Amino acid sequence: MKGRAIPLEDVGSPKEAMRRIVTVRFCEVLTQAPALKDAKPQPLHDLRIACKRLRYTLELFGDALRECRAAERALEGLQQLLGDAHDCDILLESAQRAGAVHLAKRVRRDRERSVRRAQRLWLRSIDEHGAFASLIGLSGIGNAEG
Amino acid sequence: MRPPPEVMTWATMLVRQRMSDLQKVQRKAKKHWCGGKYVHKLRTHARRLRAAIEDLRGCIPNAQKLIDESKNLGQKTGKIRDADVLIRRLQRYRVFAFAAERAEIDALCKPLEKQRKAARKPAKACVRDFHVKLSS
Repeated sequence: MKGRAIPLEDVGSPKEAMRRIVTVRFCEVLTQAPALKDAKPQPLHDLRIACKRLRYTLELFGDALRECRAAERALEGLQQLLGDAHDCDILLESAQRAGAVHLAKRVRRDRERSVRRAQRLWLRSIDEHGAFASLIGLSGIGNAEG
Repeated sequence: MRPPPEVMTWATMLVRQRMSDLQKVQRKAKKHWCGGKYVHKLRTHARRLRAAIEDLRGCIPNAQKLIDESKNLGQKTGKIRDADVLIRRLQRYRVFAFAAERAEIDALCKPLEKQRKAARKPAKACVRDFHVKLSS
């Protein structure tokens, strides 16, 4: 999944640029988030990439976005869990091709656990007082201005 | 139309910082090359640089070239990293596996080890030759 190009020609200051970039990257995560419901491999992978992209963006702006630290940590957790699920998908494919039924069963169980944990972390983070509250506030998503 | 100078300076400074972080790890990787040890760090820093350039693309003159170069580094070192991750996972499973499952795991590990070995040479060459520079 490619990240959207972000026009910065009309921004007046670095602060405004930061706000725009974070908003676009956060929107990309929100767009991919329904993948957690069906838990199909490719959409989950796309969500992981979107989380990683947003996390790197927040890291890049560092101290200027101190209020987003909790979001950064939540994204790291999501990225880790979705990465585990992705590794399981790759392994599962190899195991099935090789007819490794016992291993495939174990990998499938591991995958389901990672997806369940990612779903729980997402729900906690997107809650009104969750880790993403700062991102929601910064981007203005959900209010009249946003 | 370009963003205002204040934004351009700020963006260039952020990208320069990312490039400098990557070059530091690259120097270490070149000096102490031993397969997987620095590959992960290097790939992470290359991804961070790429993400920064993609975010600030409008302020970086040779953005696409830099993106392509860091993407190439990621691809060339990707096979080693992928094999490492899967082998580690399989080894973890092996500890708790019974005999039949252990045989399945060993059979899957062999081609992965081969893949890792074959990928070492091109990855090493790519790490050695990798060079990024911001054009003014």
